[in-house]
Amino acid sequence: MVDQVNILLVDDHEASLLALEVILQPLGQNLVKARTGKQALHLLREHDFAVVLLDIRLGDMNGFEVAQTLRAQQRSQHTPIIFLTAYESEDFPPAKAYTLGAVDYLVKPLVPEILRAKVAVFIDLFQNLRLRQSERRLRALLENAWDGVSLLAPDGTVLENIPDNLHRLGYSQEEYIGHRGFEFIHPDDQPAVQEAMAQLLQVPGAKSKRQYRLRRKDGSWCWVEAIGTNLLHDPAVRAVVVNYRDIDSQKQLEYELRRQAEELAEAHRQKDQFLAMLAHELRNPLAPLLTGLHILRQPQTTPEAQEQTRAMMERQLHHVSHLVDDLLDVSRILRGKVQLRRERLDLGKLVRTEAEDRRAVLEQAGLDLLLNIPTTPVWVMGDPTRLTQVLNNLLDNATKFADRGRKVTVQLAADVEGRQAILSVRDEGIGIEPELLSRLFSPFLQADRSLDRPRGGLGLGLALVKGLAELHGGTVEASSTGPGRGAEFTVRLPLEREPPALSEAPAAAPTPGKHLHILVVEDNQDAATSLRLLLELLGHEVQVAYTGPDGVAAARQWRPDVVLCDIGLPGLDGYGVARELRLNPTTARVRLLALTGYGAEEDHRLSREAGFDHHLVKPADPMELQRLLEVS
Amino acid sequence: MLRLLVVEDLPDSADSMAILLQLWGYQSAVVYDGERALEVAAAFRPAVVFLDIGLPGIDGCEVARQLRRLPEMGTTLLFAITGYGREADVQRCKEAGIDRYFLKPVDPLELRQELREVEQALFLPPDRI
Repeated sequence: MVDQVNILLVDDHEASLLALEVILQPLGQNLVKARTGKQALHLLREHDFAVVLLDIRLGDMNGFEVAQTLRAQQRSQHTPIIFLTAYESEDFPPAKAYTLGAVDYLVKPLVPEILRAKVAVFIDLFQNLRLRQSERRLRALLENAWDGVSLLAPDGTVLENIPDNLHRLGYSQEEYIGHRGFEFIHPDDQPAVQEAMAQLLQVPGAKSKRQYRLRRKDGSWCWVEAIGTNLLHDPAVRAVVVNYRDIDSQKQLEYELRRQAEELAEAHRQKDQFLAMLAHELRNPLAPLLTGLHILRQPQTTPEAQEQTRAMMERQLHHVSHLVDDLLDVSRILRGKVQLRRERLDLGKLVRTEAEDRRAVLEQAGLDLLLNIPTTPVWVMGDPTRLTQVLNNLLDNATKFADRGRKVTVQLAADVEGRQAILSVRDEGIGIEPELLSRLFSPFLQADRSLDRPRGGLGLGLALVKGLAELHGGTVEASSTGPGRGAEFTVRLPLEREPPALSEAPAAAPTPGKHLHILVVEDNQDAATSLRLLLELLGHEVQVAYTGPDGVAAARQWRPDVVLCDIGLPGLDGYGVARELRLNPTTARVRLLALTGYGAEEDHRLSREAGFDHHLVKPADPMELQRLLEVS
Repeated sequence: MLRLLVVEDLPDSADSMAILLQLWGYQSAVVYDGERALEVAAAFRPAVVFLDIGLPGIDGCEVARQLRRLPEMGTTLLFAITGYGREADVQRCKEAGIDRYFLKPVDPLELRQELREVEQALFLPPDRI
């Protein structure tokens, strides 16, 4: 329905206005009356009129003056004017009226049908103009909006399309219009879209929303969301109108989020698997330990069986300690918490000594150890404990995966030009799948559970090797010509140029058989008792205190040579005990050894600051303990 | 005397278990892999097989399935002793025909109680030294 238009009637006679009104009423438009020229001009400034019927003689000004002024006004510049006059006058010649922009000049008495017909023409013109304007406005809206619009015939043929949409996809109008819209839809999405279209066609006015991919001219796909509306029943449209919205970046984001979620799930799965494996690996040595205890408890166990069982329990205990150490080490290395105690050292000597120490273990596993190490020193700046760990982990690995009767070769070379020490451990074992090589050094990632598991270990050894090599400014890489062909691990460390200025000082010989007074401060009764027994066996006199304050009191009273103190104690912790003892002149010079389950660098620092001379991590190696006591 | 077969690839675990079983007065045999378990079981006809699950070669569940097919194993009980304690692991053992499931480390006293019940079920007087 087209809106009413305004028609302005200007006359200073009320009767004339009334007559005009009566004549024009049947046109059904909005008739606006003005009795003066001034009033007419004011209305023309404020509103749009389809036509102005202007009497030439007005009270305040004549019609020509009004016409001149309204032509000068922006809004009424093109408004058609029909002059009305009672008679033709020389003052107001029709010719002049037309030059002023009049479209007609009617002399009263007016013939109602003629006036109506003339006015009706201008109403039509005005309405058309308004329609064209609104159409242009709509088109501008659509063309400048991102989303595209297509009109489709029931068979999917593209009838019309807002071009901008096509520019984005890269097509010209010719390449799109007249084609079947389905041709541009991804084959995987076509069935769903065809079905939606079929349903849409059944119900006039129905809407359907779908997401699918449209092919760009370059062959790539663009995700769109489309809403189709069935307007086939509307005679002015007779098409299915499809509105598109580009959701490509949204889909990319969705895809990215999904990928991240999958990665997280995978990491979670790996962690889960690692924990299950960790539990398995820790339970494995606990089983024979528990069995061993029961064997030792049986009265009928022979001395040989007792000895065999003790040796077994020692092995398994060592194994558990080793697992826990590896676990903590990996965690510390991953968090960058490990500090190296670097010194200038001959890597050749270190590798030769450590490898020889391990020869027996390898031979027990049926492996032949070959060493190829230069006799001249290979100087590096390194932490001897950590470099030993690197070598041992590589040898452990070779032992696990090498076949019986084969060789394990340890080779060291100094690449002076490349300023690198190159250490390699080669086995002739089951080898490594090529796709596994890159993942081999990541912690918690077991390659092939079925293959790896029965060979034992947490699979952390290689992660440790990598972390430690990198801490030394070096690298590690694995190579294998494939399954069954063995594997080689190569560690490269920066080579030191100059030989050390000083020769090594001979180690101070321990003085054996020292008899000491030792105070053990430990709240775990079992741990305290076993420590007391061990120290007494070594020939020392021992007292035990179970709390921090008791420990401080006993030390003041008994004045021991050495205090072996746990850190986590009731009443006053080990650090507190150390501070108290250092403050009191009677105990200030006592030798203080911390004995604790906390082995992090931070813990070492804290115990040093509290006044401890040494920090031993549980379980303390009896040999190490004895060595420390002997230098007391 | 109850005959017991220990199937476990870790020598320390396997050997100590066999020693303890002997100390309790049972006749025990040890094998370190699945293939050997299948060979020995048919001849040894154990009353109970203690079966580790994470074995090299044929894994414990597969060993259980194959043992169940042997006619000589009709009355033999299969006890899984494993470090894997997840629900899925237990389920897998059940499906393989395993009678009892123990998580390492098993308390030897609990195991001994189980064996006594097995003996009573077989109407055998408990073997004591």
